[in-house]
Amino acid sequence: MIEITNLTKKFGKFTAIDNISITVKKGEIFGFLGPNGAGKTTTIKIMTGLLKPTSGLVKLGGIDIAKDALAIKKIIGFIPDRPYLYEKLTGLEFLEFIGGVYGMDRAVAAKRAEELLRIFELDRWAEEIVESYSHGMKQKLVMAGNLLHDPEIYIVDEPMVGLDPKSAKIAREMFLDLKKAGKTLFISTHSLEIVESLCDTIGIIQNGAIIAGGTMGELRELSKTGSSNLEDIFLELTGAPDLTGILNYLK
Amino acid sequence: MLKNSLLFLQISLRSTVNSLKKSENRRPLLYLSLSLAGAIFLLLSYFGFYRVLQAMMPIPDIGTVLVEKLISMVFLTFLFLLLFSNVIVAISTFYLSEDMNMLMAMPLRRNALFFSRYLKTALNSSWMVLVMGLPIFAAYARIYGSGAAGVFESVLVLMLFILITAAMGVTFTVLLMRIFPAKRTRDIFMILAVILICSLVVLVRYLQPEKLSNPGEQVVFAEFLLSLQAPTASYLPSYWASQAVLSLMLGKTGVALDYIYRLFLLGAVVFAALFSVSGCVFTRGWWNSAENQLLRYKKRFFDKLDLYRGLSFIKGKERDLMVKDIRVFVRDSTQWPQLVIILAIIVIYVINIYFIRMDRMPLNAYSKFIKEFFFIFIMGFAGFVVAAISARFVFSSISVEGRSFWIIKLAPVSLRQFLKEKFLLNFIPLFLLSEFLVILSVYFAKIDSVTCAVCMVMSFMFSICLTAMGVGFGAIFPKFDAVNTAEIAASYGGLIYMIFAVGYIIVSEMLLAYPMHLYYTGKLGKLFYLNIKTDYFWLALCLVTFVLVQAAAIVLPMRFGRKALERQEI
Repeated sequence: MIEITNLTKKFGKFTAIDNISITVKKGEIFGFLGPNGAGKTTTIKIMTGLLKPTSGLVKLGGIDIAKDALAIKKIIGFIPDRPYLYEKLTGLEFLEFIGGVYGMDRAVAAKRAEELLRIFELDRWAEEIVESYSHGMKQKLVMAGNLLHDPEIYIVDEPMVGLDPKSAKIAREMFLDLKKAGKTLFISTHSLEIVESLCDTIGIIQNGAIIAGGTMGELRELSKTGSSNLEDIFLELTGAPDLTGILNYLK
Repeated sequence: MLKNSLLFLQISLRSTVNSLKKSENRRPLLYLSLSLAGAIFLLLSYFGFYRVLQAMMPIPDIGTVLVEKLISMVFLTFLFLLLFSNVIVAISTFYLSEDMNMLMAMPLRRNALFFSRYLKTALNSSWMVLVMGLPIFAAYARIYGSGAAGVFESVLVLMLFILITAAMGVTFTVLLMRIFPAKRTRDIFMILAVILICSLVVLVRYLQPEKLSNPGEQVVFAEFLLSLQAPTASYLPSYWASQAVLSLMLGKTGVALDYIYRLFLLGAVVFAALFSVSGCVFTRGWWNSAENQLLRYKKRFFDKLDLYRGLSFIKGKERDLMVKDIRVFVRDSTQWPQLVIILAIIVIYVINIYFIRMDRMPLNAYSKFIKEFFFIFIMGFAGFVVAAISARFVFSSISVEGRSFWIIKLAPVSLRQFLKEKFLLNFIPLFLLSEFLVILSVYFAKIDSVTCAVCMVMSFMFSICLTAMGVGFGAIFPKFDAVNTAEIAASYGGLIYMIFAVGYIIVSEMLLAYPMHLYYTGKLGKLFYLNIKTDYFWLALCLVTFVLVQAAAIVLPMRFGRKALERQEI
């Protein structure tokens, strides 16, 4: 469902993504891990058409993004890490707008929007403008917007940022339900716990290159630590941080 | 304190330079060619001004007076322009800017922060006036033979004038934000509107442009001369600055120093006022504003309207985009000062049209034709009004998407549909406005049906082309990070758009001048039984070029704009 082949992105002389290849099958949840600045968000932005690749191929649902971006937009949903929304629309109006631009019937979209607002506990805020929402509430509204038009592929960047524990649990359950419904999810996150509990396959990116990929079992073999804990594997593969300097500074 | 203020300013300047470098790296040719167009425009302004001064100077008795009167008019216009733009910019730099939250929480000297914001406001709101001042000063320097030194000294006077007006504008804004409770931002803008419109009436009555255009109306010539020689608002800083510039150009250093001394004295008073509001008054006002942003939304009459039903004549996703845009526009209080500006521009237009009533002209064989020719120039004026309004609204319509633009980029909506919606949304009000201005002008000028039809067609073309250019240039130069919409029109892209819009109006008028000339001379020929030959080649060439210019003004900016947005990375 998702095919990324030899993808490279350069910003001037800086190479943000260096010849990476990823494949995600239909109905799978793929966890995209990596330290800060490794190239996760850049990869996601290329997949969603917000950035243009320097070279390489991105196919979603069998469609080449360079050839038919509009067709791809109809089958993907995107939950960004920073949910910039139309601040002057109310939550309900925002969902109505999303329903409209995704070509949904108005009555169906309105009914579904109300239902989603209730599920995400935003129904009390439905008539308030987004400007007055907290970060977590905006994040939930974006999730509701994605569920509204029900895409085949969900691309998610740091889904749990700003969510309270209850909402985080709702989000986790939502991802599992989507998987059961045959949807494909590409989740970029720092939360190893999410990856461990949700993802079928995992890719680890560092300095713009994929350094490891596969199922949990395959990663375990690759890391040679023998540990069953993803945190140990992640630190082994990306290099454990040297905390001496920080500790000395704090002293 | 000054050191800290300059440090803050340096950070802002460095950010601007970095973002400019980034944009230039992406499209160096575009920026180079458009900067060149800007430079050519300034050069043309210089030659235009020089020609006007050169034509005025030799007029017996009143030539020198007219030239001197003109500079005081220029400074008086600058004064009102600067005061208003400083108030608008101060609201965003002091109260709406995102970094203010962080800066207010830091252990910084409040005065240093305040003065850095003051300098930023002065710079943002006045750079265009400074740039526009250059060709004017250069033209005066050439007329008076005062050379580069004259221009340099005049620029220094203008800078002093700019700092004083900025201090006045900022002090006024800080007091306004302190006095009014947080919930009443709308009232602040209403007050600004009333002040602006009153100021404009005063300004127009001071300038009395009809006296320059129609001296024959004065009962006695001596009275006219006296009215010209009377100083234009001699107690305003604009008059002192204009006299200082004139005296410097004429080499009268003593007189110049007298006026500069007055400016410094006023500056001391204004800066003392600015300093006194920089502490507690500003902090409390800032709290007011911060609270305002946390208030819950109160539904108004507008929210009860069913916009989807109202816009049922628009099909497809464009309707959804339009409903969204209208809702955002109506609820965005930073757009309200823009509406005030529209109102102000219309007031200026109406007052001028009213006072330049051509039916007051003495009746003779030629007056009818003169006034019809003159009406074509008035059409140009209406065109400038439409262009100025379009810079405020149409050009900024892409940038107001802000950081939410990713939603459009990601949605299954083509950029063609997106731009089409922006075009439709802006074209309708702009068209209605320009036709209103034409009808008003037709009513006052009482012209014949052919000229009236030409004006209606031109006004229609102006609205289509200026809308297309506004949307296109707005897409080529988006400013998605703007805090206040007023910033967008005042940006580099906004300036380039205005230059091209004015260029388009002038070229269109010039191309229609020959056909209109033929029409009028034909009428004259009939009246006096003359045989006037028509050069059909030139007539056809003018008309075909006119059509081509209109087509290019619609198609090219929209196409380049779409391509620029396709390339736009978020």
